[in-house]
This record gives sequence, structure tokens and C-alpha cells, in this order.
Amino acid sequence: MRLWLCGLLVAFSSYAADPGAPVTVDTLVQDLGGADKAARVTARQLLPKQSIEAVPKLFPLLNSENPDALWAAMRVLEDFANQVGVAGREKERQKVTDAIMTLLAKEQSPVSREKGLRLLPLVVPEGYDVAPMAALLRDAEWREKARESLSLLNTHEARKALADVLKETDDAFRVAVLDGFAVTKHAENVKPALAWAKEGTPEVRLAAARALAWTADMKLVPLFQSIRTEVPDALRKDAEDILLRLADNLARSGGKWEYAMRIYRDVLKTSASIPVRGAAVSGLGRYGDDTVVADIIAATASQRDLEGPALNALRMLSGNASSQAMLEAYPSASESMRAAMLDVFGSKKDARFLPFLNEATKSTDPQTRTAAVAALSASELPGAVEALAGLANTGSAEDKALATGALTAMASAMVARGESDAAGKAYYGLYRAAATDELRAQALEGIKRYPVAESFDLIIQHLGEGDVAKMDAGTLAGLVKALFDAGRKEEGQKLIAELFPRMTAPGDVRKIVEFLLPILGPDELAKRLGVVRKWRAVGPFPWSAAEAFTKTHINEPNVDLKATYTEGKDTLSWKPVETGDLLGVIDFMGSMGTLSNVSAYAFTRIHVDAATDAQVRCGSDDGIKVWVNGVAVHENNVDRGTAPDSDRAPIKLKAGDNDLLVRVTQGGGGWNFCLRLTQPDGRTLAFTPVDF
Amino acid sequence: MTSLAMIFICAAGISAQEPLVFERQLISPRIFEAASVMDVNRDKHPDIVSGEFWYEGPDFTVEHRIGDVPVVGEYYDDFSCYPMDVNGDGWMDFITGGFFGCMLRWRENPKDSNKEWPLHEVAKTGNIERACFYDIDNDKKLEVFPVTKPVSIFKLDCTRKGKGKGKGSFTQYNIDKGNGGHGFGCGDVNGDGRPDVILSGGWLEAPEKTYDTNAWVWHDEFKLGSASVPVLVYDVNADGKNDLIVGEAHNFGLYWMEQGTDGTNRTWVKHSIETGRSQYHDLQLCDLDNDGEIELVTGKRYRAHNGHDPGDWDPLGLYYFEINKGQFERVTIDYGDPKQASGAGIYFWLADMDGNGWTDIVAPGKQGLYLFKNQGR
Repeated sequence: MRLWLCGLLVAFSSYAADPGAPVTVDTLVQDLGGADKAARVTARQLLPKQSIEAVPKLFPLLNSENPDALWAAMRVLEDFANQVGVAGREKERQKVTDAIMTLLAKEQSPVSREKGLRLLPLVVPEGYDVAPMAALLRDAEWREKARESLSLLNTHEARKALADVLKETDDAFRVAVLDGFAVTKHAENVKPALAWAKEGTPEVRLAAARALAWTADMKLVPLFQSIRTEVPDALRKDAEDILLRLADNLARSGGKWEYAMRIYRDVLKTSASIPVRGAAVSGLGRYGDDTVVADIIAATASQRDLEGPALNALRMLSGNASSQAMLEAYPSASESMRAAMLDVFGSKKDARFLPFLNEATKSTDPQTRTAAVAALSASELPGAVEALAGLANTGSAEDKALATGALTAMASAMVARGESDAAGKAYYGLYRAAATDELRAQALEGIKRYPVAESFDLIIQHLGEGDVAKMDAGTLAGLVKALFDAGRKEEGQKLIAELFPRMTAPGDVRKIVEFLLPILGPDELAKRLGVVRKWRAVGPFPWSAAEAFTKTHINEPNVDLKATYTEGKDTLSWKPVETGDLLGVIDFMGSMGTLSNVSAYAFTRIHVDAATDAQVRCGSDDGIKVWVNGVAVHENNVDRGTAPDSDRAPIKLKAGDNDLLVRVTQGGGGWNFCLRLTQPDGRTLAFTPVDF
Repeated sequence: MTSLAMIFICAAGISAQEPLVFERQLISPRIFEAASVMDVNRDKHPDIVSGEFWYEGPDFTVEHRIGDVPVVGEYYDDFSCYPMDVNGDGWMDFITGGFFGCMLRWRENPKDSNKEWPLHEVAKTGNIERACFYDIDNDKKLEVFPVTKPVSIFKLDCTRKGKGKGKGSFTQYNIDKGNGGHGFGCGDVNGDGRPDVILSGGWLEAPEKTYDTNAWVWHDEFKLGSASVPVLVYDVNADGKNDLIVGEAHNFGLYWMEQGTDGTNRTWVKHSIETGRSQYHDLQLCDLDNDGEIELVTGKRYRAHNGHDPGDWDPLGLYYFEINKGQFERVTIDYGDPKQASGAGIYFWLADMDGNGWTDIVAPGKQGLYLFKNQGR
């Protein structure tokens, strides 16, 4: 290390007046205080790497007339102070402290004493006698700087020195010391502060109370209440502010929530100071629940100046219960408050507020309409689109501009959040409201990218080359329905053939059913989807998630439909189950009961004319295993609800009859499954159920 | 404390029935959802046991490892924690179980604070939503209900014909009746002095001989839905008939079912206690304020279904309710954001931890493990 340092010093040889002279602490200190800026920079870097013997040698520079030298010397001293603070350097820390403490001596210059007080909090260790610092607390000229230094130091000795001076100083300095206690928040300061809170002048009592509020001690509540009562009128708002600080800490500390709310309510109700009442309202908003909503709104009835804090408070209150309370209290609010609350309602992004916001768009007051539009936009709820579009169509030019702007913003926000349906609705609303061709074109582009049911007609009118190829199954099904509705059946029939291979997501089946059921009817649609609706089932058999499908009950994959099975005292046998459900959902709860930790089997047989590859698509609540002709083709031990097409598996069907066996597990709640057969790409598979 | 609170109340013009004051202590930020209290090291100070650790009383600042608990997503497979000297060695063990492991088990106290607790499997029972513990046979010893289907009772095998110490094993009895789901309780519904079993879809009437499992009678009289574990059996309106207090474990609401009669048949009428807060998964009755009346103690189970339940993102809360013969009055102990407030977890515990004569609350959950020291009024 020493060799490395020597090398570094040689490298910096150009800074020295005499390049050949050895580099020492003295030469570095000389350079730090000299006129050569480059040499000062180098000395600033190197000095903290020297021994702590450099510390006292730097003190003369604290009185330098060169501000750069003074600044650099302080930084180096701070570096030394910080470096010796680490574990293992206690002796050096002691020496540095001793050295810096000498700066406080009377014979030292004011600058040295001031710098000494700034450096000492960085270096004085716990247990060090701070008498020289404490002595300055009794010097009128130095006491504030000494107080600040001791407060920052915050060792036991520093706290004791500050507590001691409380007894023998004037009220102004007493207040300053106590205010320092409020910052340091140390348990040792509680006892002296408590004494002054009880016995001091009003100003001192208030400062002492401020120093105690952080403790969240319930014993302080009556004391603070009495201070509030006993201080002169001019100081009452300060006493109330301190009471609110205590309430904040009570609420935060846990276990005293009710008392915190009581303080907020009491101050809100009885204070003559509007800012203090506003602070009480803020406290209710920060820490309160649904029960404070009525208090907040009631406060604004007699004092409009409280509307700002009240709105912020309502915005801070979260949760279902608080939202419900706001809805209930809304009618009781003043007219101005009701208008202002629209913004809060929008920020909640809760559909329960929509009726109020929608109604407000019809207000005769332009400011209310503006607020409603902004809130609807901020709500980012699909349900807001209709009201905004309505306003855009029927409102004034100003309303129209506001509403279309809000719809544009909503659409963008929905796209960013990946909420396609909501984005589509917003674009559709924007299209209807757009006043310019440019805006309409922008909306149409969005509609095509995020199509929704209500916009299908519009899309058909504006179908461009390649548009169909980009559409998913649900969109395409909607278009088919729109074409049929428009009497364009031939075009619709063509598109139906395109539909089935596009069913890639579990939700696609339901969308297709929604749109195609009125066109094809239930039987034809079920046939085209390949839904299997007739089964024989047996169960329940005991089951647990841990065992998955490892334990057998019917000698699967073999199936004997005439067999019976004994489970406890029950004899189980195969029974026909058939569903009229379009998606073929077989509900075991209906046939076997509301049970937990069980499973059941279902069997059916289908016929195909020729051997073919195919696909089984199923959904289940909860897990499912599928066998085709005795071969396990799919297994999913899962806890879930049923969604058609949740699972898919490739299968091979032989020419003639084919057996399908399914086992469905049940942890708790619903218990059912659905299954359909398709060609490998999802197109309709031609097969017929077999009676057996 | 009483006088101080009263001064404040008078100054603020507040009514006479004052809320209890609690000192909250964060025991651990760990997110195990079950906790209980027992004197683990026999030093006469109650200790807190929760998940993989126990915390040494009276300060609870020193923690000791118990052993691994399987993790499934954000759940620990440890949904209960009941102190019981299972093996009769004079050291308190505890019984637990979880939804995912499907196993009722007990942890053996190693009698050494620096050793892990051996794990013993009692039975493969299926998903344990949360085990319950009741004296179903009125022998002054609690039996274990893993809350599964069918209803299973695990009775600790004891020396001296069942009246002595535990022998480290259990005898299992199954009641193959009833229509269960989420929710379980135990108490005397029909006033015959025998504890009956409450399930989500009705109740099982206890026979004269508890373990004549075929003699239990199913009454399909109500639908509690996704009910709390436990459902409490208590005469809410003091009419001489026990009612039910039910929390919505995975939805909004807390309510009681009033037991009545239409002259011929038993009737149940639902009365809401709360509608705006959700996930009241665990409920307990206790005279928390030492006024001679029972209070309902409960709170939110934070993220009961990992963010998928209604109200999952609403503020957390821990409460007690003055029952007032059915005019329930909520008193908030703690409320707010999960970073600064506590709920009740799936299995919280009530005990006087500091011997001041007031019952304290040990509240675990995904917000961390807290102790609320009851300071009275």
C-alpha cells in the first residue's frame, strides 16, 4: 500500500513547487492553503489518505482568507471525521474528537468554533464528555449553534446536556431545545419534555407537547386537551395542531385508531381555525374509514374553505366501504361540493359512481358538465363511453370538444392497459361523436383494431382488403351475425367456414355461441362445434389433490358399464347423464351432490366413418383425465373453474366406434366438465354419437 | 389508564362506552397466516408460535426455528397451530395442517430452543382449509377437526382410559353425512347439551354417543356459502337459543343467523353485521374488555385468495364487536394499508401475554405477525 501511495505521489510530482521535494502532510497542507488550484485539488484528494496527525494541522486553514482553502480544509476534516467512525478505529476517533473539541476553546476564533460545532456531530462517540459543547449552551452568542450541534449529535451525553439546560435558560431557548427534541424523537427526552408540558409557559408547554407527540402515548391525550384549553386564544390553533400530530401518531401506531378518529372529529367540530380544521379533515382522510365520510362532507356544509381538504381526504379514502359511504353521503353535500366530488368519483374507477357522473353530464351548469367529462375520462370505465358520446352528440361545441377529447384519452388509456373491449367501445363512441373526417378516420382505425359487438356494422361498411384475415374468431363471429342481420347471408355463410380454425383461446367458443346461436340454432351449432352431450357416469369416489390420478377406482382405462363399485356403504353404478347445454357441460353436483375431495368418471362412444386424426378440446372443474380407446391422451390435475377449450390434446380415431372415458376431480365448489371433438385444426369433425 | 381515557373523553364530549387501547408490536414481517401462544420453553412466559418460527416471551425479540413449512405460491401450507401436549411428555407440541399438503400433522417440541421440531403425520385427510378444535364429547379435552369432507374427528389417545396424558397418536372417526363446503363450526344448536357440527349447508345433530357416527342426523337448514372457519355458535340475542355468527371468508360481509321457530320447524333469519368489508376468515368470541359480556373478535385475512377475492385490495382491519344482543357495534383496533396495519390472518390467537388481566391478540397474516397488547380502557 505504501509503495502504491509513493507511486501515486510521484505521478503527481508536477503539482509541487519543487518536484524533487518529498511529499509530506505538511507539504499537502501547504498546497491545500496555497494559491495553486491544481495543487489544492491534488492535496484535497491525498490528505484524507494521510494519518490523523494531519487533523490539527488543518485547523489554521479554517481561518484562511482564501474561501477555497477554507472550503477544502472543511471537506478534508469531514472526511477524517467520517473515516474514523467505523468499527475498529475507536482510538483514532477519540483522538480526532479530542482535536476538534479544542476548536471550541475561548481563545479560538469565531470561525474555528463554528466549524468545530459543525464537525463534532460527525465524530463524537457515544460516552464522550461533551462539556465544552454544553458550556456554549450558556453563552447567549453561541447557544443556538451549540444546541443544533448537540441535537444533531444526539448521544446520551448530548441529550443530557440539552435536558439540563432546560432548567436554567429562558423560555425562547427552552422552546428551541424542545423543538429539537421533536426532531430527534428519543425516549430519553420524554421525561424532561413531559415535565415542561405540564409546568411551562404556554409557548414552552406547546413546544414540549410537540416534542412528545411522536410517542403516541395515550396518557398525553388528556394533557394535550388541557393545554389546548389553557393556552391563550392566540396560541390555541398551535395547541390544536399538536393534538392532531398526536392523533396522526395514534392512528399510525395501531391499537388506538378509535381515539385518533375522535381527536380528528373533535378538532374538526370545535376549532375556530380553518387551517386546523382542514388538517383535521386531512387526518380523517389519511387514516379513516367509511365512518368518517359523513363527517368530512358535513364539515364543508358550513365552511366552503374546507372543500379542498375535504376532496383530498375523500380521494385518499380507499376501499369498497368508503366508496359506498360516499355514494350515500353525496346527496347531502352542498351543490358546490357535489360538483367538486365528481373528480373524486372519477378517480375511484368504480362503476357504482357512473350514474352520478353520467347524470352530471346533463347538468345545466357548464362547470359541472366539464367536471363530469373529466371525471368520466379519468374513470377509464367502459360504461363512461355512452355518456361521453351522448354529450358529444347533443352538447354545445365546447361540450363536444371536451367529450371527444375525453374519449380519445380513454381509448389510448385502454389500449395501454391492454383492455381491448373497453378500447373498442371508446373508439366506437369517438367515431360517433367525431366532428371532423380526420378524427373519424382515427376512430375507425381504432375500431378495426379493437372491434366490439356494437361496431360490427360499421366495420362491415368499411371492410378493407386484408381486414378479415387479421380478425380473431370472436370478431369474425360478430361480423357473421352482423351480415346475417343485414340480410347478407351468403357472405355470412362464407365467413362461418373461416371461424372454427380461429378458435385458439378458451373464451372463443362462448363468443361464437353468442353470435351464431341465433343463426344456426342450438343443434346445428353443437354439431358443428363437435360437442359431446350424452354420457354415462359413475361416482363419487374419494380423491385428493395430492394423489392426482394415480389411484384407480373402476379398473380404468378398462370400462365395464355393468359393473358396480362399493364405496363405504354406497354401491355405485353407471348411470346415463345427458345435458341440453349447448357447450355440453355435464354437472356432477346435480347428479352426485355438493361434495369435496371426490372424483367421477364419464364414458361415451362415437362413430366415424374413416380413421382420422382429431383433437379433443375440454374444460373442467376441477381436474380432468381423458382416455380414447383405452389410451390416456390428456391429464391435467388442476384446481379451476370450467372454461370450454381450456385443454386440447391430439387424438387418433379409428374407423367405426371409438370409446371416450373421462375422469373429473373435485376439490371443492363447482364440479363439472365439457368436451368436444374437432379436426386437428379446429374445423368441424364429422362424427355421430353411438347408443350403447 | 381508565382515568386518563375518561379525562380525554370528558374533554372531547364523548360517550361513556370507551374503546380498548392496544399497544401494537410487530413481531415479525414473515407472512405465515396462523399463530398461537404456548409456553414452549417452560420458563413461565408465554411464547408465540407461527409457521417456521417461535418467538420467545416476554419480549418476543428472540426467534427460534421450528422447521420448514412447504410454500405454495404466496401461501405457507400451515393453516392452523393449536397447542397440545400430544405425546404427554409435559412439553407443549402443536397441531397443524394445510390445504395443499392435505395432511393433518403435529410438531413435537424438542425441549431445546436450538433444535428443530420433528414433524409427525397424523392422517392424510384431504385439503385442510383450517383445522378446528372442540370438546365434541364433553370430556374436557379438545378433539381435532381438520375441516374436510367427510367430517373427521381425531381424538387424542391418552393413558388411563382416555383421562391421562397423550400417547402421541389419534383415533379417527368419520361422519359420512352432511353437505359441507367452505365453513365449519361446533356448538349446541338444539339445546340438548351436546355440541353439534355446523357445515356450510346445514348442521349435524350430535347423538347421545358421540362416536356412534351413524347416529348423527343431518339438518339441511341453511346455505352459508363460503363461510368463515369457524362459524360461531352463540346466543346472540339472548333468547335461549344459540344462533350462528358467520363471516364471509372470501367475499364481503359479516352476519348472524338467528335461530327461531315457526311453531313446527326451526327457522334461520339472516341479519347483516357488515356488508362493506371482506374476508372475515377467522372469528373468535372473548370477553375482551372484561365487562362480563362476550365480544366478537375478527379481522380481514389479507389476500385470502392472493388478490382474487372481492375487496382484496381494500384496507386491512382488526376489530372487535360489542354484540349488544344483535345490535353489533364495531370497534376498530387497527385499520389501514397493509404496510402499516394488521388483519387477523386465517388463525389468530387470544391470550393474556403480559399478565395484566386483559386479553391480548396475536394477529398473523400476509401483512406480518403482530401482537396487540390490550391495555384496557
